[in-house]
Amino acid sequence: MFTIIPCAAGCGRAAITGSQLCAIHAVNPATEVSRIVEWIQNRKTVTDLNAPGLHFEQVNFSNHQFYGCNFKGASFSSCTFTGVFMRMVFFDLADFVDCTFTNSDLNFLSFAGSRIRNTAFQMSEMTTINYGGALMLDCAFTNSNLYNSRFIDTDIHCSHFIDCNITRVSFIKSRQVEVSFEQSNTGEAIFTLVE
Amino acid sequence: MKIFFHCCPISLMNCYIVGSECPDQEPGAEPLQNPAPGDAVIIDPGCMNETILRFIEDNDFNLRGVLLTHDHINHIRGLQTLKRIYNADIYAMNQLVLDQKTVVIQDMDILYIGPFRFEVISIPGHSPDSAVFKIDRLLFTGDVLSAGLVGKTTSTYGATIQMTALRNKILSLPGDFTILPGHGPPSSLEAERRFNAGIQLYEEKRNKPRVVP
Repeated sequence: MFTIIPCAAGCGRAAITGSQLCAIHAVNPATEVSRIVEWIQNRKTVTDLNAPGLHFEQVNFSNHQFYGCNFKGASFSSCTFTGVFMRMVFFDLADFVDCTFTNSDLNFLSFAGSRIRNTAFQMSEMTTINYGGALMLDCAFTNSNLYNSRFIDTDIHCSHFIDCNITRVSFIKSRQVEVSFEQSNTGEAIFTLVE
Repeated sequence: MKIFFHCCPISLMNCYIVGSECPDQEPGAEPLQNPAPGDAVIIDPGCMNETILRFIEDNDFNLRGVLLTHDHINHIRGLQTLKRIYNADIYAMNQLVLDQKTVVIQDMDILYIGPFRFEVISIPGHSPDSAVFKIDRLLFTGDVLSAGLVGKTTSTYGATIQMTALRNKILSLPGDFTILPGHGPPSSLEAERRFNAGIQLYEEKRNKPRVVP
């Protein structure tokens, strides 16, 4: 877990698992994506995967377990995450468009600085997750447990938290436009920094 | 390197175990059925319960050391139980922690514990003995820096000391690091440089003109 091999091009970025190069310096990034997707599909449990900066389109990640994986700066378009189990997975500065997370068990993840558009999180355990500095647009959190997560300095637009457990969820310095917390326990959430 | 985290249920603090991977295991490979025993280090044993013990024993780890980011009770509550079970050295900034003798560490120390090499970075402010442990591209930050927040301090002086040390020793580190904090979710150094509300609020206060009557 957390084995990072630097890109052979000397740029300092992490190389993609199974390659000597990062997504920027890979000769054919699309081939790398296919290889990584095939690698994921061939196993139930995925550990220590480095796939930063890759673009995944219409990939079904459902029913896989991910431990200690790095998807920093990656982009996900129309991807499905149904029944996924994730621990210590990093999506910092990643892009999500038209994705769905359903019946998933996510704990100790980071989406810091990511851009998440038109993405649904439904009926999922999503505890202790960092959304700091993220931009969320047209997102829906429904029937999910967000316990102990942080939306600090997050821009949340046209998004909904419907029937979610937001106990100890921090929204400090978050900017909210057209956001609803219908049937969610806002009294248990943290909206201001107590000094 | 294998990292295990456990959120202690009473104080909601994160306890970590850093363990060595099986030497013949390729990165990304499936876990082996009967891996060879390896060394491990525990960071902030805020509790010592069945989950943590099971992780150590199931992996057949030889617990070599205990690192303390600071000696607030919620980060060390499991220490005495741990010492009854394992003969591991305690590495801390204070000489005695819960009546246990420690190996005293200080800023810029390099700790070689089993196969691991930890760098000690002292960041006082939240507590006088606050330390961050750096290993590879990971930072175990204790209460000093967490996702979106910095350590709570009891005075402006403490806040200034903490922020100065954070800026000079952590935020200025080259490249990106994974942040594994004492509370709450993980983060990355790059994200904290850009989005940490605690740092932003400190800067806002500092830059606000003050009128002294």
